[in-house]
Amino acid sequence: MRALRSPLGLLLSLLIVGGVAARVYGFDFPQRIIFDEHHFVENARNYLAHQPDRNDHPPLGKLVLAASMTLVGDSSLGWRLPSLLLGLATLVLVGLAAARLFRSSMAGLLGAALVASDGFFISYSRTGLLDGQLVFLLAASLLLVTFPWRLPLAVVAGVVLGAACNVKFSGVGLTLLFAAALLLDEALTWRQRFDRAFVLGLVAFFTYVGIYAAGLSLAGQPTGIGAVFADTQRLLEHHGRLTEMKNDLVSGWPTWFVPTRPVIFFREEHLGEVRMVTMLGNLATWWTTSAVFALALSWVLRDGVRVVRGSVAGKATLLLLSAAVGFLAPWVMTHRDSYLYHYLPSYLALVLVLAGALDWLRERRPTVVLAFVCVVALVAAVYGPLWCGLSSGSEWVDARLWLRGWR
Amino acid sequence: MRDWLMVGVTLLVCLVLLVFGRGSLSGGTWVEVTVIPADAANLGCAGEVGGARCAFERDGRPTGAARPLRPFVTTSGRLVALPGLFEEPAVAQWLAHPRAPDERVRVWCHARRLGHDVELPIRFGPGEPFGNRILDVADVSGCVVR
Repeated sequence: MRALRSPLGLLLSLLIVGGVAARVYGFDFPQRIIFDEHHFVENARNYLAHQPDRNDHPPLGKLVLAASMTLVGDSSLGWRLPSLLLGLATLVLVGLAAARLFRSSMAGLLGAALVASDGFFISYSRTGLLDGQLVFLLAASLLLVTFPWRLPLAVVAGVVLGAACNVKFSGVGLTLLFAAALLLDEALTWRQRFDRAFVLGLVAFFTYVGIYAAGLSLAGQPTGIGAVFADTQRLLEHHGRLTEMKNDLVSGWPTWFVPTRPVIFFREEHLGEVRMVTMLGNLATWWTTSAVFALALSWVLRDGVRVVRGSVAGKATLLLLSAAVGFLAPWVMTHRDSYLYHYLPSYLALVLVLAGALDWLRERRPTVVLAFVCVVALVAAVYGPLWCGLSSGSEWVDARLWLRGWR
Repeated sequence: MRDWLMVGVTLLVCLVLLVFGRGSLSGGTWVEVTVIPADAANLGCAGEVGGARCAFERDGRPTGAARPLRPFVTTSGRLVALPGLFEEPAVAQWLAHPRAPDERVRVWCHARRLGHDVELPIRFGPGEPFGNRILDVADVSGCVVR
């Protein structure tokens, strides 16, 4: 409540309130399948019907949808509710994680507000897709690494890593974050680091196999460890073949920092009235985050890890950069077809780097930080209707989506 | 004080943008429907919306409207009522000399919305009873037959 007494704190709090409203408002609209929901909802239906399914990804993400559809019904409400709840929980987790990483409640508020007011995250809280689940697990991991590395923490981290890999294979990007966290924890001996890493890896392995086997069992398929390996191998080979970059929506990773090809989840136009949801983010946050990423990397390269890790902000930045790089690596190192949504977890980590940088700047140039947050709020007000399906005039919409690739 | 002012102005502008800055929902756009010559007599409604009158009053009496409202299903599957579509010059010309009695054509018109989610009694055949349906109503101009 103390934060509300300052202009910055009040504005950040209102951004969070607005972000929650943008996530909740009519999230079940349209009451039909949109974008890649046709893959994942169909997968979930197959699980519920105990039928084998040609899944594109491991089972956990679709099992979460199936559980919700069992409880709420096979409707847009049912298959989007998990994304909404996890999206809201992500706001809490990133707020806590940023506050603990930078040891500043204002950094936490900044992190939560920037994530709350960004269309990239809002759109993923409103659609029955898997990447929002991955972001939730990353946010949980970022909070985990702020605690001392005792054995129970290694067990929990292992469960989160195994679950993340079971949502999408790119969840393996968390490995770099946990490795960095173990290396940067100076209270640990090398033996303790090895022990924790071993426990984490073992738990992650069994979590992955256990959840995968449960999915296979529900689909009426063989469930042994061999079956899990065989199906994992099948999926990896399938993804390995997706290298043509011919889809209209593909975008190479260097373009993600602009971005040039955000996906429009749906656009309904009728007599000049448009209702749509795009994953285009908050441009003020987006472009500043891209610049901060470059600055943070150059800081680490110039001063070296040993120097940077010496400060609270430096250590937090190293952890966040390791998470961002971990999730970027699969797309940088391979020729796999890539889409802007593959950047979502990395973007979360980088937005928190920005939150830390703003918190640092706040003590030196408070007005600059306040002015920046004002710009973020204004951009959110301009683009908000396009993130949450609010009715808008078609000419207005086209004027906001001024880059050809955004339409 | 300056900071509070900055936040106050920002919040005010945000509010104005969200309430008034979403463009005109009744601004011009295009609407596309497919029709056959018989539709001119078959499609009808009863009542009046935004100054546009149907061919019939709600009690069934003819209104004698020169450009009567008629219900159509757009090519995107939405139910709309458009006044005077068959009276538009290009459409009237086609209607006078269709290539075949059942020729189906696409008609593109510039549209300006008159009403949103309006309840209107409509029918798709001259002998059928009117049934209430929820639809949008738009004025049309500059129609092109394709």
